[in-house]
Amino acid sequence: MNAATTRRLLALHRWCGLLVSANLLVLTLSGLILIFHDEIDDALGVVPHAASGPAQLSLSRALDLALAAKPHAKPVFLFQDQERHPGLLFVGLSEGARRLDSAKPVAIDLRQGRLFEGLDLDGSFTGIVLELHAELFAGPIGRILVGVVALAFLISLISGAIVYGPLMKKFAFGLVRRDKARRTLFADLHKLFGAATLGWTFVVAGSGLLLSVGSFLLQYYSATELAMLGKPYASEPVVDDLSTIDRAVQQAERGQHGRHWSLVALPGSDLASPRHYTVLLQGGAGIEARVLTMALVDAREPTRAEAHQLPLYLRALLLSEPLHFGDYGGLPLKLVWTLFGLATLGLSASGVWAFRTGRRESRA
Amino acid sequence: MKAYAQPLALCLVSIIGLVLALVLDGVVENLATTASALPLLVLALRLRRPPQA
Repeated sequence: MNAATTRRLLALHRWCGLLVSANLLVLTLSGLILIFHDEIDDALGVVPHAASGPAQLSLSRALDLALAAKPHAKPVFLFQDQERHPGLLFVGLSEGARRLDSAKPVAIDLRQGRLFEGLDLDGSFTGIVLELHAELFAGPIGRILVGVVALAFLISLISGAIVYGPLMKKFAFGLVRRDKARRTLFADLHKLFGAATLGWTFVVAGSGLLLSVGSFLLQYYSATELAMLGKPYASEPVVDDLSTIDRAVQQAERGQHGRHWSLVALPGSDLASPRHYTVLLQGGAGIEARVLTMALVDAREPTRAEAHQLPLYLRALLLSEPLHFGDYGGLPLKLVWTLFGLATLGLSASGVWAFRTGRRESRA
Repeated sequence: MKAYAQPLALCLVSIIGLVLALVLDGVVENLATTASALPLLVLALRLRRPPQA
């Protein structure tokens, strides 16, 4: 690599790094909190606990219970998480459009047949921190901005990794010169932090970029592949009789080798046709547990179910979430994530300091 | 090229460890998690005792 290319890449690295540094501080600090969102939510009692024992309430009865509490709302989705919230059913209700992202969930204890009022996931501490992390409190525009930050961070990482070679060819790995100018010390620290965190930052920035466009990918899927599947029924009225939901879920789970439903998009929602339930199923171990499969079940004739594979970009999106938040390997992985997060703060701070002291020293 | 060797090795160890911890279960998952943290150990050691120029 010639000197001019190195200089250009270094400038690209420097300016992309400076552009993301302030945002990175906000994203890293909020990300550090979100690593422990399960523990924080449990400590704050954000989500109620279901009573112990077998489920007493069918899904259709639970839906009736939710609609009785909010008679003007339309049901949009059902969600369950058997690992984290056993015995609880979340019903997404919307008073406006039947969109999954605008529906507000209510929680129902299926074991006692009890509805919990006042569930406010968005208004909880981790809900607010997530809104800051994912959207910078600026809605869809904020999501795009976070995506731009992730992209600039990736460019900064790649350009930094490339110029590392020419800059370090005469020095040992991990050199930290404390006896030289302050700029040299910060630059050495920056290179050491960068080399140690490169793999992790690459994974987190890449998955963050994908997550920032996640809602657009879902809309794209809904408007293309899913719309094609539901095209013969597009002009039909939305099926409002959801008493078939239990049979539909059983039909979707049949032949799925231990997979169980995790989310059902109800007819008329943005992830279902006016006549179908879109059932997302999860289960198994390892990567299988992370990649959901899908079944479309006729809401009028629930014996008619079709299994579908999610497209590659949605499967990549599903894998991005654990890879971004580090919540897939228990407490040890969360601690690894925390340490890498703190090291990334060191990377960013040493880079900014090297830039500042370099400018000061060159002026003096 | 020699200058890239160690950072690249750390980067690969980290990425492979994180991905294996995601796709596998049990003991291998724990090993992969530990491996992914190896660059942090190298960072701590180098900060404590950096090589001489």
